[in-house]
This record gives sequence, C-alpha cells and structure tokens, in this order.
Amino acid sequence: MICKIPDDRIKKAIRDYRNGKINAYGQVVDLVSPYIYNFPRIVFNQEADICGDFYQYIIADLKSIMDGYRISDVKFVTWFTVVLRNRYISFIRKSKKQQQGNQPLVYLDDDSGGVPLYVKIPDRRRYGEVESNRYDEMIERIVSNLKPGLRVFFHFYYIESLRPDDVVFLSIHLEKSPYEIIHMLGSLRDSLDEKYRIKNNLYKRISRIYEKIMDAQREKNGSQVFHYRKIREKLLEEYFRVKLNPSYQVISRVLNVPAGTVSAGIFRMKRCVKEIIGEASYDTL
Amino acid sequence: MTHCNYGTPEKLARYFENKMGNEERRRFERHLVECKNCLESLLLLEKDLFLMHGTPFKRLPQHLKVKNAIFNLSRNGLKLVRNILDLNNFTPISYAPARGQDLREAKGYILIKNKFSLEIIAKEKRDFMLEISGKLLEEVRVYRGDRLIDAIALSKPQVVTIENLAPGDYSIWINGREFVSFEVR
Repeated sequence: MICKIPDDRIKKAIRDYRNGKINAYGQVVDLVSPYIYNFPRIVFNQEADICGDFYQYIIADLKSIMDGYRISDVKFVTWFTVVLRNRYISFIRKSKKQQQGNQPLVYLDDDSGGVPLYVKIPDRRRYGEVESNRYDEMIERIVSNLKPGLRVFFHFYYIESLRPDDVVFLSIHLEKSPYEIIHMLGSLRDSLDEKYRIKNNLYKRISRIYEKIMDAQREKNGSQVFHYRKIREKLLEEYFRVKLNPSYQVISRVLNVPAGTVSAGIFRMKRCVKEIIGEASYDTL
Repeated sequence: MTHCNYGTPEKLARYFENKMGNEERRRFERHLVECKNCLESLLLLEKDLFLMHGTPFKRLPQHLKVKNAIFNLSRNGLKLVRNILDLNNFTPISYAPARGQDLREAKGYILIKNKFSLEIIAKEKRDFMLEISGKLLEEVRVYRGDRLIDAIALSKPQVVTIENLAPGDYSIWINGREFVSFEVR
C-alpha cells in the first residue's frame, strides 16, 4: 500500500516547524491537506461540501493538533487517522449534520422489494438506526448460538460484522493477541481491495439515485420516481452481488489451516446461520 | 463512542504498529479486554487505514487552499488579523519620517520569501497597493478569487507596483509559481 503522507517528510516538516523554521508549517499543511480533505469522503462517504467544511474545521485547529503529536518511530499517518476520526465525530456533533458514514445515506424503504436478512450480514452501512439495531440483534443472535469453532469462521468470513467483543473472543479462542487478530483481519481485507472499490462506487451511485428519487417525489413527478426506482433496483442488485467475503484460500492462509478445513467449516457455519436466522436461501448467504 | 482517557491516539497508534514494550503492551491488552471503545477504535483504525491507502484522492479545491494571512482593511489602515502558514510571515513595516515629522505609524506589511519581497500597503481611501520586488523577478500574476486581475512580464528585474486594489482573496504568482495567498477583508 502507498502511504498517502510520506512519513519521513512529514516528521521533518513538523520538526522544522517546532524549531521555528520559516515555511515549515506551510509544508505540514501541504502534506496533510489532501488526507484531511479526502477523509470524510473515503471513510464516511460524504459529499464535497462536507469534506470542505471538515477540512476548514481541522485546518483552523491544526497547530494545536500538531502540538499533541510526539515524534517517534510510529508512523504519523496512523496517529493522525485516529485523531481525524475522533475529530470527525466532534465535527458532526458540532455541526449537527445528521448524515454520517456509519449511518446510512440510503434507506431501503418498504417498497424496495423486501431485502431478506441474510443479504445484510456482509455490510451494515445501508441501514438506518432501526435497521442497524435489528442488524446488531441478528449478529448477536448468530454468534451466541454458534459453536466456537464455527464462530471463528463466521467472523473471518463476514469481516464487516466484526465487533470489539468478537475480537476478544477470537483472541481467547485462537490464543492470539488483539494486535495479531486485527492484523489477521487486515490481511483478509487486503485481499478484498478491488471488491471494496466496486462496492463503494455502487454505494455512492445508489446514494445519488436516492437523492434524485427524493427530489422527484418533492416535485411530484411520478414517472421520474418510477424511472429512478428502476435504476436503484438494478444498482442494489449489483451491490448485493459484490460480497465482501474473503476467499477460502485467504482465510486458510491467515488461520494457517488447510483450505479443505476452511471450506468445510464455512459450509457448516452457513448451514447453522441459516437455521439461526430462519432464512430459506442458502446460496445467497 | 464514549471517550476513554487511557486509549489516547498515541497509545492506539503505538499498539497498532506493535511499538510498545512487553510490559506496556501487556498492560494495554488487559485494558483492551475491558474497554470496548479502545478495541473498537483499533478495529476502525485498521479499516480507515485500509480505505485511505487504497482509494485515490481527489484534489483539494482551489477555494479551500490555506491562505498565508488575513488582513483587515478599514479607514484606519491595514491590520494583520493573523498569519496562518508561518510564524513570522508578514511583518509590519514603518517608513522613514519626513523631515521634521515623527516616525509615521506603520501602514503596511512585508513578506520576504525565496529572494522576493511583497509589500502590502494601505492607501488613503479604502483600497491598498502591492509592491513586489526581487532580483529574479520575471513574471507576476495577481489573482482575485479565480480571476486574473493583473499579469506583468518584465524584461529586466525591477519593482512591480499594483495599485487601487479592493478587498478580496488574493493569490500572487511569481515566475509561474504561487508565491503567497492572502485575504483582505
């Protein structure tokens, strides 16, 4: 992966800035600006105006943010990403803008064809507050009813559903530290790079279509609403087709067990999950 | 997510990159078992880094570019509100007094950078002027907002003066490179 903020350059610029070197602060700003501006867009799927507001919100306070950074062998970008997420949450609270990434931009209303629950496992972000609660309840029901061995496969196969408690479970069950579990998860996610990209693009297109439907509804233009809904249905179909599940080979490599064991384990896990959530279709799970 | 005082961004980053000593790591892992917030922060950090590193960036819009300084122009003259980019960017200048008069109050500010200097000086009315000089001065462009308001090409290095300027967002380009941007309110 290419690091978007070159570590040596940013650390040098921060050092220079602290030593009072002219133009050093400008260099710091130049190096971190694209990262700040793109953060809400990439992580929270926000539009350009929110990105701009967030950028200005951070830049206004950047000197004090930088004062809190201690130069060490830890990559600047790792520290800065934690800071940006915390600041983004404060920014959203402060500006009282309700849209944010972990909450939906797209709400699947009742006439969307009734998306069955099993489709929801890989990705929770499409859902509103109520749907999100139902999703959490469903995951809780699944993991509390699965045998530990199958639960490991569940977490590694549906990586988007992983919660802090699950990391603790995996850590105890696999006798690995949380650090190792999180990095195992990172390896699984790396294998899904292309799928994430496709899914994110589809997600943005669905969000835009949803806004168009809302506009058409406000204008009481029935034919437009019908037209956009048709497009949205097609996009949703595509969206569901792209699954963020790592391949058996990748899981077997990460868990260091034979691929056959993984495929058999995932097969049994899916069967159990199907029984737990009472869904009919196995294929789409 | 509620706030956790123990899991600071620095600690989370150090743990994530496996830069903690054995004892500190053990202590932090004991904390992680009890603190869902920190564990969630680590999970989110892993995902955020993945997304940020794997997705192409969009360019920062021109209007969002950070200005070097903000000035306030009033009947009383020009006042520096703040230098943004550098600690000692624009500095006040005073002029030599006319014979028999006291030292005049500073009416302008000067920025010296990369062998060029820019002076911003308030005029009598509610407008101001720019004076740009430097040995290697060949071409000067002045933008207000996105509009080019003046472009000067010089056959030999000299001082360039641009007068009767109104408040706005200014961007000064020297020899094809942005030299400074500032706002006059």
